[in-house]
Amino acid sequence: MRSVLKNVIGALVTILVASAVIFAAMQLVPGDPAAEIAGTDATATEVEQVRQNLGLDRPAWIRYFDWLGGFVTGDFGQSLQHRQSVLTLLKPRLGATLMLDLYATLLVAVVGIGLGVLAARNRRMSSTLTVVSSVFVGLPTFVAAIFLIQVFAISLGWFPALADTGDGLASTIHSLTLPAIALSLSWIALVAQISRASFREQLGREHVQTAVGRGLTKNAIFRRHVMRNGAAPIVSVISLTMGGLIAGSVVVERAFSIDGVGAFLVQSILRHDAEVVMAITMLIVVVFIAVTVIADLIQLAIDPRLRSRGVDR
Amino acid sequence: MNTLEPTTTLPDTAVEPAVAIEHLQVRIPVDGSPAPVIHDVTLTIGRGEAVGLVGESGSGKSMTARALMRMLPDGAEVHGAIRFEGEDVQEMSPRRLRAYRASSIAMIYQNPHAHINPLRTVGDFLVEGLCQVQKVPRREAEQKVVALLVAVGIADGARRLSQYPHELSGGLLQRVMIAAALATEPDVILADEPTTALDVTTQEEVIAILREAQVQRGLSILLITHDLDLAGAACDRLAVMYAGQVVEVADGAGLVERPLHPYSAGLLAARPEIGVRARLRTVPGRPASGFEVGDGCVFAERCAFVTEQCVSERPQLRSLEGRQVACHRAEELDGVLLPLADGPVGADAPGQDKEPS
Repeated sequence: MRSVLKNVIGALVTILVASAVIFAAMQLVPGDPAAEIAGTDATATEVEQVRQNLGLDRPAWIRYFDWLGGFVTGDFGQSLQHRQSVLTLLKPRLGATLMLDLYATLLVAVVGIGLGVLAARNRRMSSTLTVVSSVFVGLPTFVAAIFLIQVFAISLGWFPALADTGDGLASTIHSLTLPAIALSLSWIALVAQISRASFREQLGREHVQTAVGRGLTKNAIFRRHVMRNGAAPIVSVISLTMGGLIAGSVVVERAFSIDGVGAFLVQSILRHDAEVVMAITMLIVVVFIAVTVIADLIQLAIDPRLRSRGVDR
Repeated sequence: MNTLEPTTTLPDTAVEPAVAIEHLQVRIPVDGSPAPVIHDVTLTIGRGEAVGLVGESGSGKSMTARALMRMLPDGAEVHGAIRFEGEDVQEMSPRRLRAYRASSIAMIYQNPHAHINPLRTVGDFLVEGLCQVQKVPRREAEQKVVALLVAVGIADGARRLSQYPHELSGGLLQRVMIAAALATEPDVILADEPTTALDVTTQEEVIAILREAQVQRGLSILLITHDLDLAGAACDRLAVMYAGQVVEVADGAGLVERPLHPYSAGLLAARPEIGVRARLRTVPGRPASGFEVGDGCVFAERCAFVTEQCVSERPQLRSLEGRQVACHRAEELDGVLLPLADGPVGADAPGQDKEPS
């Protein structure tokens, strides 16, 4: 219980530090938002008026706490470009990105671990995996996206080239399939390799010898003494994967014209929309840290030795 | 714990022995080419008999046990016969082999913390053989293993079932391992250095538990150890192994009082003795592994009594005075080895000026 609390407190501190860094970084971005909004032919007093209206004349640290307080209470501020609340702008886009990332994560976990299991148990599969996965590990996401669109959308016509996340769950899943595959390919390859190595290592352990000596079937040995014992590094990699997927979704959303958070982030950076950029960046940080905490908790659930000795072992 | 003294039950020679190993030869691939680890092991374990397999590290004791379980490393070449109640273990189908491992033979390992899955509870480990293989209902299996835990000296067994292996001491966990081995009611138990990782008082208790199980359940036991005294106390017969060969088989008392093989004598001389504060004697030279020895006697390199014949021709295990020994000069040396066992072996023997490397 103590280790769980420690994990959560650590996560909160990390989020706080990250928020300060993000805010400070946005202050250093060149350009004066007040001048931009006031327009090119505004006088100095008009610009000053705008600045006061936006509250930009207050000291930075007050604006930081103001912003942070808003973030905690769910108020992400106003987009100066769109003249709308950031939350209103984010809401519809968040759904699409969340679906895409979850879909991709599911693919990474299921296909990656599945291939790892097959390769750990079968010598021929293992050498095939080595060759194929080393190709895919290095495959850039945008190349994968272009290839998939060309083959499965344009030539075969199985999936739409432009993802439509509007109507119905089934059609959403169908149209997100290609983007999710493009997003997950290199991570599947990585997870497959890590799982194979981890399961292989467990297969050589003494407790597996014991199980063999007891006359258990190969399936039972794998299920009872290899899978869970080899899970720790796989959980770590998948939690990292989710961070990588968020970054990768920026590329994929553009390739498949998905109006998601990733695409919106790029757009907002180009338009100097500070409030939106800060909100999205903070969301990414929070999601990433939450995933890390969950991964740590899963590790605790897997290994009783971590529970009784605490996490700082 | 009532039976530390050896039993008087002799193996029934009229029936098939529980285990019969004949001229076992094992080669395992080392850097791609097969290297011999067992040259010639001939050994029987009678029903209800405890046999000690004694020798230094690398002499092939554990390999012999693994061969008996058919759990040798991948690519191992096996010659000779390994029979369990007359059935050739090498010929078993995968299904038969699993059944054999599940209910005929069980292994107790040296390091219980490594050999028991650390992520599963002690209860999971104990009932696994019963529930997974013999398909006994969990509740029934738990009742059985709690009773067995009591038999091996763990009174609060029911509480232990929900604990994890790392929460138990080595001695306690070794008892758990023994209980788990007994749970499936095997005919033969292979105990591979079961007490090496334990402190001395726990060692004695563990050996007593094994001895009791042997007597009360009619088990055959193969106790693998480098500890001659321990083996002598716990077993009906001892087999001494060196560099992949069984060099002498005798009853415990016979071996200690009158060793027939120079290596047995060397092992005896190397035992530390309580109350004697002298530099420990060792068997001169470095223990050889199976793949290091040439055509001659496996012990020729380190033997004080080596002759031309010993270097060129490997002695076979043969019967001598109701015992078995693999030495060309056994008759000549009979009775000579004992005083030597009390003095330095080999160091000042004639015709011997070998440097231990």
